[in-house]
Amino acid sequence: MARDLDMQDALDRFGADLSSWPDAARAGEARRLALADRGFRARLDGAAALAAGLAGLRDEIDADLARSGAAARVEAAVLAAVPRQAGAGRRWAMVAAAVVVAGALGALADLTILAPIGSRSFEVVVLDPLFLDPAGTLSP
Amino acid sequence: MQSKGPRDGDAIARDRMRLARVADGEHAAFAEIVAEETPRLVRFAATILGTGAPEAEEVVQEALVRLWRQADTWQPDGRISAWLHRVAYRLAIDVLRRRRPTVEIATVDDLADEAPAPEARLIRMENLRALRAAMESLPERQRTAIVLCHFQGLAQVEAAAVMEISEDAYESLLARGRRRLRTILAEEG
Repeated sequence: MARDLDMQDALDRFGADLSSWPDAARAGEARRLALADRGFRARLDGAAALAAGLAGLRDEIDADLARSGAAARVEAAVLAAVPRQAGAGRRWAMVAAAVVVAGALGALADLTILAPIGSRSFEVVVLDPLFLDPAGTLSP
Repeated sequence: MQSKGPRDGDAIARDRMRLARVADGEHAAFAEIVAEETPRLVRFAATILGTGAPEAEEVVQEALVRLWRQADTWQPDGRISAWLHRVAYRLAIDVLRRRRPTVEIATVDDLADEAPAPEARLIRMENLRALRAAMESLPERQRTAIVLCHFQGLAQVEAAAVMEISEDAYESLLARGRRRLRTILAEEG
């Protein structure tokens, strides 16, 4: 009795396809039981019939969904929602963008900070120490 | 019907290369994944939320867009399909909770079986309408377990990961779902 319940539980957990059972020894026991016990054989056949019925139901649902156009709508919406990258990949585009930005920053620095020496003018102011107080600031 | 699961190293390696192309911005690679996965995901979401439910399409759309966004950070420890199922399932559960905020989905489905397993007999499966009605009457988690196994072809370890439960808990849900279906169909005789 306990063995029967154990095998029925295994049949419900792992299904009618004994070759897919995770425990080969248990699957072997199920095969022997199916040959020796008409009741278990009937339960095995019932599990196989249920699996076949569910496969048929799956196909029917697929046919319904195909008629509804659901998958086509989803595909179109998804592909429209993601950006297209023409030519090189996303990473190369990012690298190229970084190079352009770096170049632009460099040019900007060149124009504003590192202007050629010859274009600059300098004023030199010499402070007469007589006009500085001990702190080094200009005395009023 | 069931795949080899995450030990299918070739499939995982292939998915990793495909996601690398997507991360690189290859729209064609992403379009290929979308074409392959969308029909199965729509079927999955529709059986959880109800065929004809507009949210089913939205859930699948969101899952696929998230894949695009996260391609850069893809962790190659599983298949794209399993990841998409997990995301779609979470989104579907959110929809179900918005529909029925007072129902604790997890507790309803985990009640112990009320009746012992019926006498085994060959159940006539030609009446798909009865089977569809029986599926729709299952508690959500038992229905999900059945769908992941029989409709989506996920290995038990992958299906357990989709539902974010242990493999043993998944097997238990699957077993209860199958027993409940047999009981319902036997009563309809």
